[in-house]
Amino acid sequence: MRTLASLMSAEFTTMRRNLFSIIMVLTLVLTVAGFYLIPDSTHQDLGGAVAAADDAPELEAALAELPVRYLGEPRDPIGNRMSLIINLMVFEVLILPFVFIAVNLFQEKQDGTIRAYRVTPGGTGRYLTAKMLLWTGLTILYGVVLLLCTVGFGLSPASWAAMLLLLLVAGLFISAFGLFVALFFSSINGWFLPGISLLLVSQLPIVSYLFPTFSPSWITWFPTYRLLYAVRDILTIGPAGLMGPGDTIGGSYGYMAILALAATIAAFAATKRILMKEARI
Amino acid sequence: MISVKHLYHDYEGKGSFAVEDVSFDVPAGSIYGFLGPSGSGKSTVQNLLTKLLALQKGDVSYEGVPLRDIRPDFFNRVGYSFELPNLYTKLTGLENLKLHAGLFSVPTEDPERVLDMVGLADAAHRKTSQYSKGMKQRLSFARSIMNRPDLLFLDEPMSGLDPTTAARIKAIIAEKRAAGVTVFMTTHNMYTADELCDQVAFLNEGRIIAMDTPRNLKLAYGEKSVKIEYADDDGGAFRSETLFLDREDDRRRFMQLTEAGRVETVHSQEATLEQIFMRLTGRGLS
Repeated sequence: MRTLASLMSAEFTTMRRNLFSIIMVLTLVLTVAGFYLIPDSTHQDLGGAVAAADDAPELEAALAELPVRYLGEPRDPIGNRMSLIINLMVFEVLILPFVFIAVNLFQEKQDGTIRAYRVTPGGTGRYLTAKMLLWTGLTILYGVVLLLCTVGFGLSPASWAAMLLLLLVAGLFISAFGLFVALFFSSINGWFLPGISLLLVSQLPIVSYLFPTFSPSWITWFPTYRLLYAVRDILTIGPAGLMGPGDTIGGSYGYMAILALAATIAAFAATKRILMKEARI
Repeated sequence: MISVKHLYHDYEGKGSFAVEDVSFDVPAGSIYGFLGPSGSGKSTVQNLLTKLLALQKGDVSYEGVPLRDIRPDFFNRVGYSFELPNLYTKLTGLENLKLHAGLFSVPTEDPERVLDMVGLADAAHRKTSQYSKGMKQRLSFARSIMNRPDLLFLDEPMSGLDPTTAARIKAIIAEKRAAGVTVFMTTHNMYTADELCDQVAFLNEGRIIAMDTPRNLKLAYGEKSVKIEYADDDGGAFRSETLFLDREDDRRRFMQLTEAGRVETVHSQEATLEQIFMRLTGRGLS
């Protein structure tokens, strides 16, 4: 425990002095401001306005005749603000550990502190655990603050519990995965292009979210796809989604837990074989 | 304490050895110095002894326990001061020591006391990125003694230190030895080695070329002579002579000059470690 506390304290202090706190507070302020500045309308509102303006009852009647196949349970339309928060909970909150765990690793490589760590009894397991716990904790904290500043007070305790659990498993996965990816680069310059590309690719499920008819099976395997729908269901229908036909929340927990375990094993092996073996760092 | 037998290391695996057939023993409670120029393999040996490099060929054991059977807990007994200080540059000196102390499961020193010992009390709350090279070196040394080790590895511990600070660090090292700590030190500074080490090994191109106590090496390779400077008969210019005191004539001449009160300076002509190294290898230590 003492070792974990020391490592986490050093990592957090380093990040704090790398302007991490300022960056995160600024991001949070801008996000919350954006939330309150956009109009809270829905796509259905806009559709109704257009139909009224066109005043075309024949068209409306023809549309009503068309057979409709629902991809899931019919739901109330989601407002713009809620949509924004759903997206930000995945693509802002969960990206945090991916980026900052890499930034800190490169700081350690630059300082050469891993070499000094290797001649202590600390070991690979504690090193990895400290990083994952710290960044998962910060992910949860940031997510909770963001929700409290926006839609959090309207959530039931069960929804809060479901959201915290999701942030926990997703935070563990993304911090382990972020470390695993960063281990293959010697500096942030080398990591930047592949790392940012990976983040951009991970955002493809937004297309499916905005246009649900575009849901090829390969995109449903993206962790961000599962997270996006799990967050949506927790924030809109609550843990009832666990029992629903799509079971997006329950399925996401299982999927994220498996990914978290796999990423942790991969990160441990890579840390031991690469980071703790490098001769000159 | 430390036993090394036929140690080899090849970084590229192409038969070009950075360390070749190195064997030595370090008795407990002694200071063992590895003396050699940059690139001679000193740090490679130290890295092999501490598992920073994987053992390829040869045997290393601590108190009879082979290196490959050493568990991570063993490092509770080890202190390591690096030539490149490897500090958290975003943390202060005090924070660096507190962090390091937290990595051990044995009683540790008070970080503020250790900072004071190495003369960094005033800089305790400054980020180490603002430290000079010498201050970083001192902090690295301070970190190495935080866990009260009984085995201390020092890689060029005097590098970048001014004479006053170096004297302070040497005094701490000597105290540690007196307290029973075993010290393995690499250096290219002959004075440090001469002053501190119970035994030294000269390393050149990965091989040990000589190994003994500094005194024995100096006796073996030096000359039993003195260089004497004296005023000439009319008291004007100074002259100098080298006299071999094991020769009857020279001894008489030495007595004659000293009794006449004309001697200004006397220097013994024992070889320095650097001269011995040069004689053995044809190159200097720096």
